[in-house]
Amino acid sequence: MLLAALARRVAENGDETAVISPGTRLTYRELGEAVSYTAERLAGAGIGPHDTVGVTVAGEVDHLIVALALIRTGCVQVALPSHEPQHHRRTIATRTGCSVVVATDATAALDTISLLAPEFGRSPADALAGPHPTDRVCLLATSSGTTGRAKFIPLTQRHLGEQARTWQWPPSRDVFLRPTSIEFNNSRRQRLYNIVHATTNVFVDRSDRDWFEMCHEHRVTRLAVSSMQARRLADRVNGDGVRLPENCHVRIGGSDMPAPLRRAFIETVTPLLHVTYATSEFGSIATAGPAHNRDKPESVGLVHDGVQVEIVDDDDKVLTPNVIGRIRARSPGMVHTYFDDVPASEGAFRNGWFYPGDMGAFDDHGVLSISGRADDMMNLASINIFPAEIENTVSEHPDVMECAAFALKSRDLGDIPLVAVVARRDIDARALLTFARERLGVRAPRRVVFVESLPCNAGAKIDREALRARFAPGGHAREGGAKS
Amino acid sequence: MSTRATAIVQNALDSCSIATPGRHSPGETGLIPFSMSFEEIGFDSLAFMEFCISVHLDTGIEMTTEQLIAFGSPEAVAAYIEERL
Repeated sequence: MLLAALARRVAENGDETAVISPGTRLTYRELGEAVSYTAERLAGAGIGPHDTVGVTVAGEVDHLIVALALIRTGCVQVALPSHEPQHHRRTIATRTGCSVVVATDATAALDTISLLAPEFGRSPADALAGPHPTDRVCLLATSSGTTGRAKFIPLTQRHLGEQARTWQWPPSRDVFLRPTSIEFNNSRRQRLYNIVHATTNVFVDRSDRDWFEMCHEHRVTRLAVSSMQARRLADRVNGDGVRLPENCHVRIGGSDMPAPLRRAFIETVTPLLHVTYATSEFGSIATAGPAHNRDKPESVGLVHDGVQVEIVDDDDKVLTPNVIGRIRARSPGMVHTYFDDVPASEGAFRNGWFYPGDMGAFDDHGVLSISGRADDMMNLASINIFPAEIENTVSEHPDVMECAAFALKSRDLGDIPLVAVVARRDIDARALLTFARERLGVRAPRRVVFVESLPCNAGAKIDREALRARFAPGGHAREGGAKS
Repeated sequence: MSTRATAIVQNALDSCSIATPGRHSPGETGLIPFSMSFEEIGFDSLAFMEFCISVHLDTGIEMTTEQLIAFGSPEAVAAYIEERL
């Protein structure tokens, strides 16, 4: 499906720009030819359907070509990013059974695993034509999850094609820029999705060139950033007065884009904001477009066409609107198992549904809101409390830059909610607790702890365990009083 | 009574005032004699819970509502905390 899409792009959009990076511009025909050449060389070196191949290619365009070429060889590929420490790359390679590492840098070698340098050139793109085994696993996407142990998501070309469809519906031929390296899982998948839509992939090089400038230079129409990058973007617009191109839509992944940040973003950067709820196992589930970000900024908007989502209780009974429960979803683009991880698979995939581990609710109009991770739900004396409701409320305080709720365990009461706050300026903790209490009642945090920054795990998600460990009862060094 | 045990109990009473706004402001809870019984102060189940939480967060000592009722007053709780610290 993905290679068929590339072959179609070569045939139908051959002269259109597929890739732009500093110093490089490829049309779809040239990209197809480059992929054909590298695929031939890799196959000539013995890479085939029996192999699992690790990929350590830091160059953005080179990485895209190698990823597509490896799909053409029929092998399974897994990224061994150059930015990861050697032991982590080795662990991934070992767990996934890599027999070869394809790398542009010899220092990426891993012990006894063969190293192969990819070759780049041009061959007729006809070689991209079928047969394409669309239901054979071609890519193991790595997900850090919340446990710290990586999970591997076995994606076929069909999954990628279906996910591309929900990721960008209705389809549009954009000029797409994402400042994050293609070596990151989500970034790589989005670059591959773009092939399906005949989008132009604009890459930023590692020299930290101003991507604002690149957005203007290449008339970028779709910019994908993380919530952290969105914050910086808003600060930058405020500080330097720079602007995005007028018709540039900004897409932010993840549900951790609190309402105050969305409002600030709309006000200072652009109203063309799209906040997407997506997972590596599934692709996009729902997106809050400009109207939802304006009117219901705590939501992730409407579920995508072709995706089915239900809110269920612990017995899988479907709940009515406005009742918080477990989210489950299904679509043709979802995977149905993790690679070589039975316990994780049994927890996340049941009866054709994917359970992302998130809690949420629909409103009366079908707008979905995420309350937090099911694992993160607190239970204080039988009162269910979700981190997101605390975080959304505390974030509304003008002196709070960002915050994260977490629980301390009590033998008798269950989970005592606390909130860690990165403050803009000195705040009186008691006043902030009162602010939260007036809005949340019994679901309010019982203590405020001030931190310089919020701890994150390898997947850039809030590390609530780290907060819990740091602020164990009786030892709150910087808790309670006004920020010093 | 140690200053620390007194401060912990005072903080717990203040926490109850945040939990039940309008009943006592934090300033007012400083006027409540520790010898008053919880019943006289007007403790309900929510206030007991908040008191337990506050003591737990400040000291790591876990208490139940039943224990607080048995102690009867903030003064008795402060004496217990002083022993445990």
